Amino acid sequence: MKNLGNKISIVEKILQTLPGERRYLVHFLHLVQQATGYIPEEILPAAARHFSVSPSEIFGVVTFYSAFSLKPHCQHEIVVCQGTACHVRGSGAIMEEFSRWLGVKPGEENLEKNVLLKPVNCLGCCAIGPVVVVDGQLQAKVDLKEVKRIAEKLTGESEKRE
Amino acid sequence: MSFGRIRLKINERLVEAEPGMTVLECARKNGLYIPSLCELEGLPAFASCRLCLIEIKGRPFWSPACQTLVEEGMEVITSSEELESLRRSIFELILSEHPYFCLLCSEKPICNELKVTMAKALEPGGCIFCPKDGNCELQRVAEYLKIEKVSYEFEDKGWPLWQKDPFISYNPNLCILCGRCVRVCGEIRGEGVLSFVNRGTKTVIGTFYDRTLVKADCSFCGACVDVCPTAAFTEKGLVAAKGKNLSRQKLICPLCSCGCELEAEIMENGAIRRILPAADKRPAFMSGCARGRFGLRELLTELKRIFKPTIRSNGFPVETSWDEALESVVKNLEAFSPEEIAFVFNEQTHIENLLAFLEIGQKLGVKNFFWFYPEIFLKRIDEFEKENQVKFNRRINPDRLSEFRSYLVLDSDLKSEATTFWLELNRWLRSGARLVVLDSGLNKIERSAAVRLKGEPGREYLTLLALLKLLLEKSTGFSFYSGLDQIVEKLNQISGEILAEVSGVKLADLEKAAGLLVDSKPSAIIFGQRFLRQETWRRNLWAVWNLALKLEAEVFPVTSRINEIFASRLASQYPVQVLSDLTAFEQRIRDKKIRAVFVLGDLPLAVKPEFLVVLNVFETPLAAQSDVFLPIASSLESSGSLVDFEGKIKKSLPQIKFSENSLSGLQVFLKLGSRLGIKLTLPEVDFLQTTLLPDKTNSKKDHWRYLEIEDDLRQVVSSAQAREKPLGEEFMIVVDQDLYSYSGLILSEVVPGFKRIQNPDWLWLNPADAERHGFKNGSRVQIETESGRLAAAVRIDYGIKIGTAVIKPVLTNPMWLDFYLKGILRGRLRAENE
Repeated sequence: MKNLGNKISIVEKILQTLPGERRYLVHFLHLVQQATGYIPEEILPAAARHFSVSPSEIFGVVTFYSAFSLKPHCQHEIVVCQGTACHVRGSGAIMEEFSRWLGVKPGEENLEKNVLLKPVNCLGCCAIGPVVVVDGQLQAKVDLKEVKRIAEKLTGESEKRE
Repeated sequence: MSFGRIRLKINERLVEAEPGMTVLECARKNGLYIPSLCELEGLPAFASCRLCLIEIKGRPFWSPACQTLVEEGMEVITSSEELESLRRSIFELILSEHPYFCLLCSEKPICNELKVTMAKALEPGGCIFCPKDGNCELQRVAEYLKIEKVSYEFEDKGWPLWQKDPFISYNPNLCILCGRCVRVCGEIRGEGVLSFVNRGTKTVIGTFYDRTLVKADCSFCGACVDVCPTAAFTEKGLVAAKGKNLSRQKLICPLCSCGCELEAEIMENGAIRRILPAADKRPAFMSGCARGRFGLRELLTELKRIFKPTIRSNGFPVETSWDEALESVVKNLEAFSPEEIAFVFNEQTHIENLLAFLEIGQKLGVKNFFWFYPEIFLKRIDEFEKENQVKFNRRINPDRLSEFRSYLVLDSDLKSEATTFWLELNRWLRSGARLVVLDSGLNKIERSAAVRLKGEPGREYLTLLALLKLLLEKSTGFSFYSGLDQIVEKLNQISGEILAEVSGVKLADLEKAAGLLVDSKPSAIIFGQRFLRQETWRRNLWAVWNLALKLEAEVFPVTSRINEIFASRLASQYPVQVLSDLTAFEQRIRDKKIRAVFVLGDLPLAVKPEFLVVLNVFETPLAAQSDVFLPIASSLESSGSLVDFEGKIKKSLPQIKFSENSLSGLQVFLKLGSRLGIKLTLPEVDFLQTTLLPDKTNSKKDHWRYLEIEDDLRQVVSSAQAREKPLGEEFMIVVDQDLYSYSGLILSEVVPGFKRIQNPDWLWLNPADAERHGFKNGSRVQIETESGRLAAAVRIDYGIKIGTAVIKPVLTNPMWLDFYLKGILRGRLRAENE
């Protein structure tokens, strides 16, 4: 709970920097997501008042975009693009490989390894696909070998094959 | 407005249309049906169902008719083999998520006889229990498209039903995501409780964090029920009525100044199935609220009522016959001299009853007529007009709101005080008009405002002066009216910063508001009863008057009670005094100056006079004390007229009878009259519209002038600064109006559902204040003021200013009345167990 109070004050600071207009809402949510790792429920009523929207409208926006999360997540985050361009270049197999490695389905997190595996619909840089974002770092033209390297680096363990 | 007419062809037929019309509207106007499930007249178009796709010559793709504007020379095809097959495919996709057996079932025509369909719709109950059956918009579209099969299996998503709320239930599994409820809730009503949640196949209608409607701050206006094309949103507990003989009765809601036209659906056994807003003049979702549609029904059907008069004998009320009861009234009243009798009325009853009541009193020679009117709203405006030789508007016509580009609303939560007025105003906000709200209390229309001025309670006057000062600086142009020099001079004595600081409003917000009002002319200044229920009411009106002249704005004082305008006209024509503070009246009873009191309605009287007659719908605490209690039919059960905030007389002619014994107020007065040997000469109600309630607008404006500011502003400011309170210790408590009562009965005490929506003992606080005091939602606290203590339960709301608290008491006891008359109090809060 101590942590939460801290987060609320961070969010209040963010709110003060933004004009109280509806069009800044998504920008605000991005800033909160970056600063706290998720969108805490407690901050939304105040934000709603600031941007003159209803709390449920913000909730609709937060649940619409997969970039926002309602719960705090793991330390590490692997985002695998599943957009059309990446898909035809084999992002499906890459996702499967990550999935197998971490033992979780896309969108789930492995609490033990502290890694979240997240699909995303398009990152807008289709020319360098398949694209994977590891802890905010863009990785271009990822192949299956690269998956192994990334996963080992993040979890600090090598794969035990039977 | 006329920019000429547009001519286009629909299905080879030449038709005319207004500019700005959509193709769908134009087709409908010409008697052409285009299926649609998401479009609804009066709602912003959304084009989510895709059923209204049409072909336009020269365009490569189909367009949704609901979002395509008519154009000159356009050639539209609304129906072709291709279009119909397209529609069928789309409709089948919609049906893949809604139980559709009820649409295809071969036994449908004789479904009522067979009743074999219990589990066909894959949901508990089956289609025969669907309350929308026979009235479902999917059924109409299925019929039009002649759907015989659906290529997809129905996918039951198994979402949990919303059943925890009063009055409204929602079944997400019947929802086709047309978005009508989201639009009506957010854009029309300005509530924003409902929203689309999630994305893609997981999309549902949801609330903030899937809270219950109660916790999501829903006002239960029921508009979502009115617009839902399926049975997803329904009145809670509503059961199927297909094939049953339902009748409809028109009635006028007496619970606030809107006087909404409602319709009661009556079942064969006489019970009320539900009450809905009538939809013949305007869409149903443009009127009505929880009070009328849910409150009235439960009040009148659930409550155990007395239908026979009672006479007090040996200290207990005993049921008796009408003859005996009226005989007792006559006999007892005759024992007093006319000077010793007081006739007191409450305006929340049919105007016929008010007129008959006054006439009986007059024929008896009674000298003391009182209108119990704790709002004192119109009386204060009258007084101010007389003192300053000015004139404000009285009859408020919401149709005129379209003439303005900006609205300045002062201390009035229009959404609850005058819902239909708000809905009309909000309509113009959607088309670009701007709203500035100045409110020190709780105001639910603030979210729609371009600028919110949240000032210190009781310092609205200073905020308005600051605004005037900024306006004068921004638009220095010539003013048509005289007397401006004095105002400018006075306002120059003090800086805008200081005025803003003292009034508690940020200067930047004031500047924004002033800029907006200058740029968006003409403006309307709208205020409600709370604005004048404060010590500074005269100054408030001064400020409004001057501001209105400078802006050349129109002023709209909006009343909140039914018949308020009528009663104030009565008070000006009959010898009727306004009664607000009861202490002097009670003293006269104690001094035996007044010995007999006849009350029509309710009165929070602390002293019992020697003889007390109460004529009311319910047996209120006052009625329980009375010597004779005459129960009358409510305005749902008897025909009569009510006057709304426009000053329009509305007649209702319902014939719902809950008891053979119940008499209307008028019938009782006629009986009483004949017993007294008086023949009542009641005026024709239609005649009153032109005599008592003429539609006068201010025509003579040439002699208007700015009203001098008499105060020494520097002194006002320094005394206000001196009264600055230590933070966190004291609260300014704003006493708001509670419209959740009828004839002295508190809805939340009688109707269980209202207990969770609106309670008279709630106290609203800013979350920061609540946290500092360690209060949570629901914490019990004691409000300690100079006028006494009051217990309350905390409600946290972000719309409250820090250091301010809001209560909405019902005027059923003397303490609440005392608070109410003060309007704004200073007080401390303590946790109840301390």
